[in-house]
Amino acid sequence: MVKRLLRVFLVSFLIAMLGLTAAGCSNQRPVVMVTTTSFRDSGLAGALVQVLQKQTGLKISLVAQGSGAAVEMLKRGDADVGITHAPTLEMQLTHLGWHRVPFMQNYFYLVGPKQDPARAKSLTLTEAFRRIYQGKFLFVSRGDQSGTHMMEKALWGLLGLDPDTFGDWYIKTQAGMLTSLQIANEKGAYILTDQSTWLRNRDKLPQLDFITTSTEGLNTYSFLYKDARYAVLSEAFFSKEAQQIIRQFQFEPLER
Amino acid sequence: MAYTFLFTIGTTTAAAVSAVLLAALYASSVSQPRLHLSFWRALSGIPPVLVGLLVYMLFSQAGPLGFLRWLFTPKALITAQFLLALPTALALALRERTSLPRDMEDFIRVNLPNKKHQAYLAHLKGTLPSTFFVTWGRILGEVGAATLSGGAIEGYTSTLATDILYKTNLGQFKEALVLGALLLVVSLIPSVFLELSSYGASGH
Amino acid sequence: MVQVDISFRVDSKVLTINETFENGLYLIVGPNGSGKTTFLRCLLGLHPYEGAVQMDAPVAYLPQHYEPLHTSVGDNLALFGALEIAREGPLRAKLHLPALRLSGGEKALLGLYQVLALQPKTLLVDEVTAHMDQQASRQIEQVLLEYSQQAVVFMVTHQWDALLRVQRSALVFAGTVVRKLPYDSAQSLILSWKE
Repeated sequence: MVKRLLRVFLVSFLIAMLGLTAAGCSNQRPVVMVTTTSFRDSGLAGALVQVLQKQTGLKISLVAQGSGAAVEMLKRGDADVGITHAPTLEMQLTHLGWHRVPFMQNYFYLVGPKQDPARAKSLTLTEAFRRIYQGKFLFVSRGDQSGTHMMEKALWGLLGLDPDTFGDWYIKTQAGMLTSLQIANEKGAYILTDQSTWLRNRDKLPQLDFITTSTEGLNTYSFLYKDARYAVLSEAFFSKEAQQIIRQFQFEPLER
Repeated sequence: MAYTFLFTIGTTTAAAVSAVLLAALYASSVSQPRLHLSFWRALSGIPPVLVGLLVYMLFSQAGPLGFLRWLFTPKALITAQFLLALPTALALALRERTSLPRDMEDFIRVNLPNKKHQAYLAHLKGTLPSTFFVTWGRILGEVGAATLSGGAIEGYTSTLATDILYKTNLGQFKEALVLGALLLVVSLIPSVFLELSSYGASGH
Repeated sequence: MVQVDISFRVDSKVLTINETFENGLYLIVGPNGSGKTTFLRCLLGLHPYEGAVQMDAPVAYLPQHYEPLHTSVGDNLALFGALEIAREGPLRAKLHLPALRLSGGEKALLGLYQVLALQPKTLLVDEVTAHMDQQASRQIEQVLLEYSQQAVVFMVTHQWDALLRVQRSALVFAGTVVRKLPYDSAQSLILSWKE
């Protein structure tokens, strides 16, 4: 009986492993591409991966992490290539011999309640943030170390302010971009968002309106790779097909 | 979607079956089940995301098993699900083992001194299906460990649960709801089974 | 043959037993808490005692709170190599049922088949007939009686009428005195308790 159970155990384990090996890793281990959660959730990451796969013949596994974790994974070798939008973090990698290829950009938008109680419309982002701070108007923060959250912290930093000292008006969600937007919509709060998520979802956010953006809010996306084998992927980002998709998702493709 | 569905059922079943069989072998070989029970029962409350982190660190390039290159493959996912299922399966199997009254422990010790292990296994056998379903239910809808170990890669290592989260973040609520309904139906199977089997055991 | 020369402690009193038993069925009778079950546990080495016990091997034991293992009737029997014995008896149609679904009498019968399949030379049975009706009790007693031709069989019981049915000598526990008595004396002693 022990033997029989042991046999069942081993056989089922082996079958499962073999089956999944066959199904999953058909010939080679795919290239692991790490990107930020917000970028994956924009839907563009998946669409770009399709194009890259088609053009290079490489199989790509797309994994989403926060910006910090994504860079850490590249450093550890857990991912082979990456798409991130946190220039200061990316510098850590270029110092380690990684190639950084900026390939598209958009802007961070400040959005907020339609009445704009802080009267921040058409100010620069920094000025708008100052008004919000002075009036203690409700503000929703991702609080999740995402690229958007890093940008928001940098903007507070430009004003010499530390969000950790803020009061109840500063709401930390630790949730994704869309969820955070919905929370801001419910509470009538200001929030910093990436352009693309906003443009694609604003019809679901009736209480919110575009307030302002400016050059401090420039959001540059870069492709990161170290192994020369993956240089072909960086070429593919500048193909006609890729650039067209980038435009479709409300981003601005960059020239080589 | 069909792939994700079958993939979810396949990996969770493989992980739960392995965990339950190993638990049965373990619970039937220990001589002090009560001591082991408290340990594994405490451990079965471990947050799934911690198991995910453990598996991540284990299979990470810098980790002890990094050379296997299992991270972000179905193998790492099944490992995480297996590790998540194991304490629960062990706790249930050990509890069943300790349910044996003192008289029956003596009965086995006196009458089957050389077949104790088989006797305990036979005793556990009746509850293996329910142990399996409870264990399975624990890993079926799990997101944290599955994402950390498998990477939730679309069409490769994403499960019903990670896909629901993804689709929700994308704002594709309709797709998310369809997947959610699917997951709900599947996760009802254990309860229905347990309900029926307990009805069967109590009735004559 | 079983030779017992032991003394052991039950609650606050010390019981001493010095008897020899040839093949046959012996009922073990006495009031609650008089040490009947403890005596069986001494024989099995599960309770401390002073003195010496000699029993022919193999020894088999059917405890008071016997319950089948949580699997099918067939699996329970197969574990003891008892499938053949059971094929003749009333359990033959129930081999695929979960053993927990059997009635009290059927469970006891299942346990009995299990221990009998071990072909014991010494068989200790503790109160399996406790919650059975007369007919079921009689069935169990009949099986034991038959088997006792080739082994020493001890059967602890609370049912004084069991003695009237089997009409065998008994080991009687009365206070600190424990004695093997022939049927007649055991019967009159027990009937005197009843009054």
